[in-house]
Amino acid sequence: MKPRDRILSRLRHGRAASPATPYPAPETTAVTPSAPNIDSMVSALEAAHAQVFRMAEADWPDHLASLATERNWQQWWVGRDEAAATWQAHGSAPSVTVFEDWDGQKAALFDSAPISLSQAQGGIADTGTLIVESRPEAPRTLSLVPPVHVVIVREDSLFPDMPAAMVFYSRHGMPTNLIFISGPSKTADIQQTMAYGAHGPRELIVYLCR
Amino acid sequence: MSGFTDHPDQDFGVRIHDALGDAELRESFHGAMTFLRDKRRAQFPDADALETLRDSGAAIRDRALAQLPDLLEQLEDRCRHNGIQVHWAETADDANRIITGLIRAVNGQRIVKGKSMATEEIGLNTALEDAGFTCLESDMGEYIVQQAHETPSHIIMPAIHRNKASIARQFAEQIPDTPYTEDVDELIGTGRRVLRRAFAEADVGISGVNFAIAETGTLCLVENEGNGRMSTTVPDTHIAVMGIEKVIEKLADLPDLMRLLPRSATGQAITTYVNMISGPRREDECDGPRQVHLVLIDNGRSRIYADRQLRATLRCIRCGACMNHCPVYERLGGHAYGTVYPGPIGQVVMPQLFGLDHAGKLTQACSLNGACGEVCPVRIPLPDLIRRLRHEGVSADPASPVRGHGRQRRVSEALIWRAWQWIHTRPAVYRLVTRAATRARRLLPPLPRAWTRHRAPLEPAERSFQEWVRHHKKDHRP
Ligand code: SF4
Repeated sequence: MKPRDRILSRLRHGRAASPATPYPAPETTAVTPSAPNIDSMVSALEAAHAQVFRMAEADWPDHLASLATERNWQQWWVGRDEAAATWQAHGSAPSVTVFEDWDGQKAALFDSAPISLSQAQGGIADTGTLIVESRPEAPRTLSLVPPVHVVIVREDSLFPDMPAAMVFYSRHGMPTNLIFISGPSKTADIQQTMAYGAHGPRELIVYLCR
Repeated sequence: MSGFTDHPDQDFGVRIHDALGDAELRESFHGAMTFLRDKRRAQFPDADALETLRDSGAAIRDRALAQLPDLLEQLEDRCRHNGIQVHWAETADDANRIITGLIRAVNGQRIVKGKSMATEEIGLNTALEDAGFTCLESDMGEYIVQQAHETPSHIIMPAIHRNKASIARQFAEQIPDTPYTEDVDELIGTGRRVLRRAFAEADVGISGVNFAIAETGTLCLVENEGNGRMSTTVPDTHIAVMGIEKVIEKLADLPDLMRLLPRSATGQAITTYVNMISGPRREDECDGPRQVHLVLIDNGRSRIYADRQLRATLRCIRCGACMNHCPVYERLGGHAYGTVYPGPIGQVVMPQLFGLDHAGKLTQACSLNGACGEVCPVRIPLPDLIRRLRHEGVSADPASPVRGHGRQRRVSEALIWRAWQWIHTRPAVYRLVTRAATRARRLLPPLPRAWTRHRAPLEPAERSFQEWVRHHKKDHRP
């Protein structure tokens, strides 16, 4: 017998020898609110140290351009998603690199990509969470490697809570990589002192658009 | 002093003695445990809601365990369908052999690892070193601990026994061009700099798994730092390692477990990252691993599974709340246990993995105060299980399911209990004995030194309790 079959047969034996009385499920379960609570999205993200801006969808490029001037953000890294196209069309950024060739651009991404911009496919209002799916037009590492990450997300793409999000993915299937992001990267591993930018972005900037 | 051992009973007393005498260590743990307990409490303001949620957590894990072999088959099938290669390991050695083989097959040179207790359990780092590989820990706490040639002292916060001054010294000594600083942001910045290089150059990434979802063949990994994302995204090969009990039935089971895990562990409503990995990079995707492997480890779990009561051990979601609330753990710290899993869950898991002859003494480091059982998010009856294992430790029953059972049994102790039982089941004898003991209390031999070394000597009262009650009643009769 193969290890797999031995393990499974031990489990089946064990189960038959002492069948369990299942633990009773709770009488009340959480009810999913019908509409996402935008205020809680904002406050949870801010509590997690993210910066949140709310505005009409048409307004974010101008706003971001002035923020970029103020912060002196020059070298932008993007994928081929909607946010990238809008930002490139806006034309205010001095340099926009499209990340599309892993082997050719990986070293530069790690060494000299200060800021990335991407679109989040959705969010979870209850916990202040962005939902980021891996897609051909949206590389996974863009939301991970550069120290500053700017995310565009639409209010109408938010789920009220995680159960609602799970119902959606159970129905529509999972992407190869589904990431929930709830703030900038952080750690409290040194004497319980919170520090941001452990391995991922130090700063997370969210445009929540109507 | 801080290595893991497969015979934790050996020198357990010495380690306890040393830990209790270490003022700095006790200060670290007291501070950290108070901090974590307060943060957890703040996340569960509504006690009724918490109890309902714990019911749900226990029910979800129990339902998964009831179908364990079937869910594992489903998980394997779904994973294969998604392009994840599945491997089964009966023992820690088998798992290490499989992982080493996978690394050799892709000619891996630089290996990074995200935080994972399963790989600690199988001693993967040592096995890889023996095979000529070095594997860099990338969780900040694990990195600090690995660099100091130590082992983690807590399952969630591995470097909890260290203060920032000692980490500052270590970084200044061991990392080139690093000045001494106690500024935590700068210290983390140093770790980030070193580990970024490692991530960028790594060809194999190893990670643990918090939950595996059978419905979709998804590996779920929760973390705050991004080391999990890096290890599972950047290297060409990703090897995920998990105990067979971690499988859950469906995506809909995840939300309640996610409501429980980070809140119980670190008092966070959600972790910064929740990774849900359902396959390697697709043809049309730009990044992500080209190969994803899942190594399923039994390592004694199927034996634990066979006992109806002990099976509850496998509900564990490794949140660490039981140790954060354990008064013994708070005073000893994790290293004194000598085990990968310290604290209450360790006292239950380790004797079952190593046998009561090697780890049975661990069950004695418990006052049965019950705090662990009250906070466990999946309602594992830890105090009951500790008592059960104490019983198995002295049980003469050959049918006991736990390895090394009866090996803690001592004839003298057994005789004392036999005598105690004999006296307590015979009222006349009992009266006679208590009468004699109270009247002749000054003539009794002193208690053994093991008792009196740290405690005041005990002396029987002038009268037995029954006599006292009789007397008391007489005085207060209306
Ligand atoms: S036994 Fe319970 S409290 Fe302890 S780590 Fe496991 S799930 Fe958490």
